[in-house]
Amino acid sequence: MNLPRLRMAVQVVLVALAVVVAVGVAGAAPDTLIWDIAAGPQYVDPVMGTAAQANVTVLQNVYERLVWYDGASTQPIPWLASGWEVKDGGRRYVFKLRKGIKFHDGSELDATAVKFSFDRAVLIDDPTGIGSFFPTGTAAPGILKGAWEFSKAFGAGKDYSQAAVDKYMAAGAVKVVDPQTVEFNLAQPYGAFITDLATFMGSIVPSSYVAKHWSKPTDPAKGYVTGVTAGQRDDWMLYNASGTGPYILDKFDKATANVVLKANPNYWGGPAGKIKPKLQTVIVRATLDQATRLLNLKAGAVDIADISTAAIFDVIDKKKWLDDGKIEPVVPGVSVPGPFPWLTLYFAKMNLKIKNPDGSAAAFQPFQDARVRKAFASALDTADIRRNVFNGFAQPIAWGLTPAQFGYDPGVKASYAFNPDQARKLLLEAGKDAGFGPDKPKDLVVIYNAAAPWQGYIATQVSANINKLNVGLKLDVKALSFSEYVNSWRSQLTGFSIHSTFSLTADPNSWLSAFGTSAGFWARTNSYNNARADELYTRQFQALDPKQRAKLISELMQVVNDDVLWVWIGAATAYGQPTFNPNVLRSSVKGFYYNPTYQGFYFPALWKE
Amino acid sequence: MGFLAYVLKRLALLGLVLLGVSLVVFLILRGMPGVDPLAAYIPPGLPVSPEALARLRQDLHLDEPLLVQYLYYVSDLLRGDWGHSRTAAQPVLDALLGRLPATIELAVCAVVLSVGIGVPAGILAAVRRDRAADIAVRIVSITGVSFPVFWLGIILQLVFFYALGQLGLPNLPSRGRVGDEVALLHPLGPVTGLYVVDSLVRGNLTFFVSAVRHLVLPAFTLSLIGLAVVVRIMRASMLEVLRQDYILLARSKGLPARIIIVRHALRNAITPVLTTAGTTLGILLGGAVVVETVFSWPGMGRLAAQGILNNDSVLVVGFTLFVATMMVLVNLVVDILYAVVDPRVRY
Repeated sequence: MNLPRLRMAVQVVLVALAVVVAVGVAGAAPDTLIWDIAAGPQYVDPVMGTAAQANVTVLQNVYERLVWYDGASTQPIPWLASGWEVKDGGRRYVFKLRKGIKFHDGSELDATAVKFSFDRAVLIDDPTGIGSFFPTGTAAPGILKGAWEFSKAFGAGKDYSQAAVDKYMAAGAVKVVDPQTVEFNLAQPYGAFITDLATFMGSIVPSSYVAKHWSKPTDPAKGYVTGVTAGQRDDWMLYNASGTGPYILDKFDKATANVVLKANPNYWGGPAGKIKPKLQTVIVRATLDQATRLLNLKAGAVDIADISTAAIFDVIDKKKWLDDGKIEPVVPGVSVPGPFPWLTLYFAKMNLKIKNPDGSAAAFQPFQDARVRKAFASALDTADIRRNVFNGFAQPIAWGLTPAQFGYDPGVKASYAFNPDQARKLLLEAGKDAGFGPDKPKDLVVIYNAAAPWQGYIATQVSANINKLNVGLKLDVKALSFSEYVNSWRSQLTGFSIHSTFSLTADPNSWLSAFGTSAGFWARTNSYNNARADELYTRQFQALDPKQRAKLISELMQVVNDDVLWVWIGAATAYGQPTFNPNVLRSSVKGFYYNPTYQGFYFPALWKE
Repeated sequence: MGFLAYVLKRLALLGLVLLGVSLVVFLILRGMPGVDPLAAYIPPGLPVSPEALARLRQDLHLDEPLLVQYLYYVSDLLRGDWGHSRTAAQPVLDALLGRLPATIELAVCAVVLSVGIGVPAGILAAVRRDRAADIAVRIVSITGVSFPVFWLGIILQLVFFYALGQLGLPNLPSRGRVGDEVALLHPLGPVTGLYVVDSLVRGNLTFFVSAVRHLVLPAFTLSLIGLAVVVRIMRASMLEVLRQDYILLARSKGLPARIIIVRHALRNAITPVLTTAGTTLGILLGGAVVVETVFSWPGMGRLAAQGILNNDSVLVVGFTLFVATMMVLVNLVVDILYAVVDPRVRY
């Protein structure tokens, strides 16, 4: 080989590289905020449910609702509405709208847009989104009049035909009284209606904008109203938006899952007329790799980065946090908000009716005995789990509500505490009736999702602690693939399993239903059925007086706790969603305040120094 | 056998291979004992009614025998319906095709780097056999391939992005395909989806420079996967050729070493490298999952990684099928290219 030529080629490559490198990386402008988020938005249509912080963040900066929150308060105030009246014992709500508010596409906010937005949410009826939870409702008679009957995802609906659409529209769920007045008719009184309106699911979209990008269905079996095809996602609205909010969705790149928001120069200023975005551009970049996000944050290339709780001690002092509960950054120029109560829960559940794969009841049903359930709950050292699994970013709870939610009552007591001796005593007693004992050992499987090592820690702990008691129960830990894991608990094949769940709102309704009622999402996979709990749930659902509702909620929580179906492991306290990725800020980002209902940043509050 | 007949035979075999792959991925998706196929379609925390689940089972034909389900599955695949990805909120095929250009750009650059560095290095090692240069090339290439790419990617970010930046020196970007500011201020209309090509076609120099800068670290990291193999094969092949009588003849004629190596030895020794480069390209097109994730490169690999994290098995299975298809196609193209590069090859 001609070495001088090779040398020359190498030199040319190096010079070219040097030229490319020499251009350098420009830092973000002072009015531009860059956020490296662990998972980018998937879609930004408010009728699609989501727990992803990226989706919610875009939605709450681009769209607005009739009611929303002022600063850190969790009490909804009139926002796009100037006020409301409650009529007919809570079955009718009449809202007056503010005048002169425009959507980003230039169209005017009016009662037609409000009616369109809610009818659209009901008619699209997206089954993969929790968005359908409101305004449809999961149980009869639902929330908006006629919505539950229409919904395939949650109600009794059988089709999306024109007849079904017409039937829903005729039910008069949302009526335009005049251009500035809109009326909601509910199927039953609903105490959390205003709170639900304040979630992103209550976002108002402009009918003309949506209709402009919509095509009439060619399938005659599909019902529709102008702008909405029943039971069908709107491909345009998944990635495009026009709201009244302080930011305009400038760009949504599907491939990168990056979004760019631009300050709305014509923003109306919010209820007090004082909101004026200081950040002109916000760039949310999906950066999957934890190490890359950390490097970017340290280098000051981004203003906010999601840092997983597993790696959080790269950013904060471990000893001070775990021993003194103080967050002290170890990276110069970085601040970690929190800890704050958040809307994610960790819990274990015990199944009253274990089934065989063919659906028949299994011969061994240890959890039908309350003493066994109490013993298992007493064998779990939840304090150790909060410290060692969640690195301290979880707080103790006595029910499936977090302190961030309405109705959270520290007076509600759990029926157990970590106490292996007590567990042994209970199991020895219960074994005599349930058919196990040191001389008659029985096998039991504890499952967890192999992709979630934190569950593995908990499963191993409960098994080791029970096996150690030598009471005739031999627990075996089984790591399952995600599908097997879901199948196992959903089909009730397992007795004891470990979970996490999240709530979209600070209102407790969905969790009260999930854990406390026989039709509830989690409770029905335990065969839990307590008529008193069902009754209390319905009463609190319909209660309009907050004090009365809070009392009913406390009572319901205690009734369920006395049945010991759930082991409450903790509520997440890291500021971020998913909770394993707290949002860490550069200290130059100012104006942050905590509001648990936001589930993401409200950018008009922020600026950079 | 004529060339055309050979291609047709290979295409027929390709169909069989893909049928086999589709059967395997179908069984992963639907046929695993104890696995609820519905879990792939609905997030576990979603409060969907049992009636809605039953309807979904019906829509997906889950109550039919497995063979019937497979026939439905293949017929859907052939119609371009690869299922819907929860992660991408898009049909699987659209999601993959939308991200294909980014992956192609990265994989092709990586292979060009592998070959561009590996071939001269392999020649050098062969020519200087058992001398310092040979040993150095072998150590460097084996060391390079022995490092896990995710680790190497992070180290390169640490040095070329973070350390240079902290020293106040110009540095290379740590993530993405193009700078945020560049994308905002100098947007690029779509042509092929290959940023480097498109920016040149559009004459958008700012975008071009930014795209190349973003390509350097991930492409180099990825190139190391193929580099060691290219070096070793080039070296072995070159040594083999250099032992041939016609090389001895060329030497005895007094031809300069450069002419002997480039004109006589290289052309004969390069064929195995071509196979390797083709296979590597196939692997990289599907196997850039880690590098794309580390560098936030918006290609198919990163999408697959997101799918895995989201337990989106419809997407992951679709990705597997897509990658298998590409691998088979790339191999076919490489086999056809043999004839072009080496006139001795006949079909």
